Amino acid sequence: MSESTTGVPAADRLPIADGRSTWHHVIRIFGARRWLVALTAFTLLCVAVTGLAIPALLGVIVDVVSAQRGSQALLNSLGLLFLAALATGILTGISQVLLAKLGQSGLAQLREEVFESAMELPQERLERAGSGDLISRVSRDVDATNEAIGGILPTFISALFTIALTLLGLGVLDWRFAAVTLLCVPIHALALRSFLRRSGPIYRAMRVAEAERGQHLLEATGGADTIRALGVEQHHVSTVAASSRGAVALMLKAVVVSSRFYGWLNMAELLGMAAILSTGFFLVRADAVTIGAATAAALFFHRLFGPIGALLANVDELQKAGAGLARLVGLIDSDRERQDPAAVTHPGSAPGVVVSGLSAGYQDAPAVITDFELSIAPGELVALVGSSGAGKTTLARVLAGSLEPGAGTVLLDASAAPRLGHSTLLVSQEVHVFSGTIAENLLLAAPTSTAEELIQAVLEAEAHWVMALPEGLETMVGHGALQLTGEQSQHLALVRALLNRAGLVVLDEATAEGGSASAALMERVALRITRGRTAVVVAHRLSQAAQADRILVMEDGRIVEQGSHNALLTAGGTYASLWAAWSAR
Amino acid sequence: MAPNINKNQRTVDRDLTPDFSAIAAGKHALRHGAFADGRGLQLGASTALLMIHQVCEALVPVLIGVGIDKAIGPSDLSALLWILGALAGLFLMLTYSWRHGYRLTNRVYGFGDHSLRQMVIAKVLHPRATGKQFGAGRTLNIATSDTAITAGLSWTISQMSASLAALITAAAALLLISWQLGLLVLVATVVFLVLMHFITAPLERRTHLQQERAAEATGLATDLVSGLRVLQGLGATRTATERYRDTSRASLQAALGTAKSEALFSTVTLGLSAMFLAAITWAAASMTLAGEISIGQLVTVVGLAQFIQEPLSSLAYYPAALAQKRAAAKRIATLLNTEVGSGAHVVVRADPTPTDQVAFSELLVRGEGQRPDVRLLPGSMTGLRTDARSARELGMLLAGRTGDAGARLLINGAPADSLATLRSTVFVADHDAAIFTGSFRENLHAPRLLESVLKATGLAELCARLPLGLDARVGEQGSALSGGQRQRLLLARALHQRQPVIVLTDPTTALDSVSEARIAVALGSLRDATLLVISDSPMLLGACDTVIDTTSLHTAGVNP
Repeated sequence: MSESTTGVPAADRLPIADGRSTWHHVIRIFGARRWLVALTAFTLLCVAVTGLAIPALLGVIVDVVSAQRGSQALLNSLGLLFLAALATGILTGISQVLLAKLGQSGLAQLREEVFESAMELPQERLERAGSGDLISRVSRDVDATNEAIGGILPTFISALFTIALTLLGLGVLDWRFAAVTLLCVPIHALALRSFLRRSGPIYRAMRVAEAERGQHLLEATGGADTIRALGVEQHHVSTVAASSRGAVALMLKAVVVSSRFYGWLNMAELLGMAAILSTGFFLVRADAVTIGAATAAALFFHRLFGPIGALLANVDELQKAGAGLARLVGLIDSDRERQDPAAVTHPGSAPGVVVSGLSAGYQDAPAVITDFELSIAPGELVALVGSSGAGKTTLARVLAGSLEPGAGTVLLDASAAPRLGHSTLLVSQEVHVFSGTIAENLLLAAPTSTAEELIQAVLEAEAHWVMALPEGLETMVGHGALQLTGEQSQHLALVRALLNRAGLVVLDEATAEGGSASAALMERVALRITRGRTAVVVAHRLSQAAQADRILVMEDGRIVEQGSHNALLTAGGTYASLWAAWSAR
Repeated sequence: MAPNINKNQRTVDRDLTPDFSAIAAGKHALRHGAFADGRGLQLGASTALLMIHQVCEALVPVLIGVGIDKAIGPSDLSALLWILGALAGLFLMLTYSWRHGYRLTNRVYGFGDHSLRQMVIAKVLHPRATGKQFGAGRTLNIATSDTAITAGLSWTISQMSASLAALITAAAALLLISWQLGLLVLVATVVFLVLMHFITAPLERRTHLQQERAAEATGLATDLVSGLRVLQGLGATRTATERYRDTSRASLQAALGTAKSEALFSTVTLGLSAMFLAAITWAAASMTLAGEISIGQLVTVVGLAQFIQEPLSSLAYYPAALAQKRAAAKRIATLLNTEVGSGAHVVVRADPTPTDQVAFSELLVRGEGQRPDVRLLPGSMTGLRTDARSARELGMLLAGRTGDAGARLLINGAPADSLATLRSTVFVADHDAAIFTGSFRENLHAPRLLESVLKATGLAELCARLPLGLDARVGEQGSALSGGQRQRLLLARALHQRQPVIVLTDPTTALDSVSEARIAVALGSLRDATLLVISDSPMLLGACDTVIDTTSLHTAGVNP
């Protein structure tokens, strides 16, 4: 749904793998487990053989009884029947375990690779594609593939084995039995083709309608307070009702198509059964087969009803799973930032920054900043001030290494380009509290920290509310647990930044959520984060800018004023008038 | 025509104002999903059809036996033709009854699910609900998954009846052939069900655990990818990958555990069936040898013995399915019966333009303890600087989200004990108010657009840069907007509301200082509404006529 509604241009969407590439990855993953594949296939074969022995033995028993061959022969056949049935039971169990081991471990490898690829997606790429698509790949598509591999594939594969061997068994009884059974194939093929052709668009529409209903439900439950404040409760109840009715109508339409399909399968069963009975009739009359063989053939065919239904009904499910798989593999194949350990600079040392001839902007739009020169001394605190669209965030992101420059260079210590998350730390207005404990949230920034170090960082950030929580650092937060306020979330982001030791820190409106009462506190903490590092701070609140070593006032992608707070006030330019408005109380 | 219109009207009413007063307990929710609004009759018909289908299915092996006996054995061509004719008739009935039974059951299920969902949503959006009893996530779960599970009762009823019909038909056919064989099947059924009861329970638990682990892994992936930019900013992607891998492995272990349980389940089921099949074949073959039954009857017996394994094993699943449905129905009933806040005289406004607006002359919030009162007069702009907790409490009080608004809140001199009066007088713009999928225009919720507001909030300038202007889409829940754009939209929406008093909470925190200064000036010149601005931004407070500062426990003077 995210693809259809947000209108991301085709070139910016995350790639979807073609059939060849998808197969390549499937073979790679299962090739690594080839012995397990062989063992599983062998077991499935055994299951089909023993399963087939049951109707065959029933035919033998009919023959024994009709020939009045005495009870010893009967007991022998019964014993074999019992053993065959028992073996089918045990082997089925074993094959299920093997199939699960194969499918689930391959699946785990796949989803972990997909996740890793998602994590390494360059920020620019993510921005262009939107995070909705990426999230739906690691969640919805992984779930769909799970469902297919865990639920459908085993049924599908064992149905395939059973059908193939039953045909073989019919052929062993008499080739004419197998031949008339194949009469049903055209009906099956036509029914399946028409089903897939008709169901495809309906299922797609159904998924869109269900996603829409989900979105409306999400907005109605999540935004209930806002809806009540606006007095538009009825509007939202009726929106949900309309999308829900739409989804139900499509579901019923899909049901009509699939029930028609099963109707055709029934017709194929009728035709096949009539053909088998007639063939048995004439073969027995011609003494070509025994009555037991005719019985076995009829029972063979009767046993096929279930597997054929399972096979054909799941074709479209497998197609859907294949589409999901192509989206997963597409992500693995996409351009991602390779983790290169050698490129990690020494965290902790504050680098000097030299920007020369820099142009930067976003995709097709004209560059936001052009021909930009700047140099920042090691350990210097620089504040960027200006209105929206002045280029502050663009510059900040290039410095942090999260945006590739269009032209020109950014060098840290005159040598390396900034690498986001390695030599640089970026804290933006976007805050995210990860589900889990507060300690887990903090450990993301510094995985090797001890509990004491975490507590120390919390205290240094004056986040006393953390310690006041019922379970302190071990309190569960985020989705489905304690919901932190926007302010607390931002505060937590600042504690994370304190723990991280990258030498260049870029704070882009990192204290914005703080809003009212705690702004001063947030600014204090932000100042502490910049201590001992080279720092660039985009500041909405001028009180924060005032503490910087140097303030850059930007307009239209250029620096129009720069200097210390006092120097700029004396100069009486843009900054001075902003400051006058800011401090007018 | 007329009755049709009435029917449509009834359907619309049921969707918009569903009556959930009758749902006092889980069983009522179950009953509503399967039987209410004429669904009971449809379910009865669909159950009958699916039962006929299973009876026909059971008769297929009987017909095969008769065919062996009467046509193939004696080589009687006319008998074969009769048998084939009967087979065709049987299949026509089988396919017809299934097709319509299946469609009808789906209809009952789909509309039952829909009806329950409308009840949940109507309850969640009830004007008096305070929305705190259930978290949004849990509510969403109830409105999607629990309603579907509860409505699934119709499937359980029709399929269980069909399975029973198949078993009874098979048993009856066997009884007709030989009472001993019929009895054997009945006894075996009972033994089988008892045994299955013991092995399905642990399987259910395993499956539940597996689903939970899988959901955990998916939840973690969603969460971590949602915060991807933060993770990359921190250089924490590798830690995140390791964390996901641990969860993924736990999910793998749970899936393998379930697979083992399932394998054990199939082995036991198939093993039991094997013993049953061998036993019944032995008995029938001995009887055939003794001349008590014919060869064809032997074929029928073994055919039926094979056939009943499926309805038999599906019967074993129904108790667990019912337990799951009861639990889901109980959650729905609990949500529908949650007490809503007080507020005696609530009138739901279907129409956003009111007809009975009383002129606003004064709003007074009595301060608690040492806190100063907040008094708002028409056309004034008042600033309030206070701690986060008091700000939140005041917002909730003014939005009518606390029970006893009348005790502290006076409108035009009278206690505000009517939620309808409160909501038609005050509009509270929460700092984290929701934005809905749609366009900027739709999100403004404005009866008519006010150019001055669009200009003052910078929304006009913002939308001028977009090809579709105000009709540009804002993404799911405003996901296409930056923090600053979001705040401009929320501010413009608040200023478009028709209530005489507008409360703004930290409206400009995500805006740059230049824009903030511009908005502060513009707000000061918008004198149509009475504004209360809860903030500590010097620029915003500087634009107010009066500033109340509870952080220093004194009322600042009137701005010059």
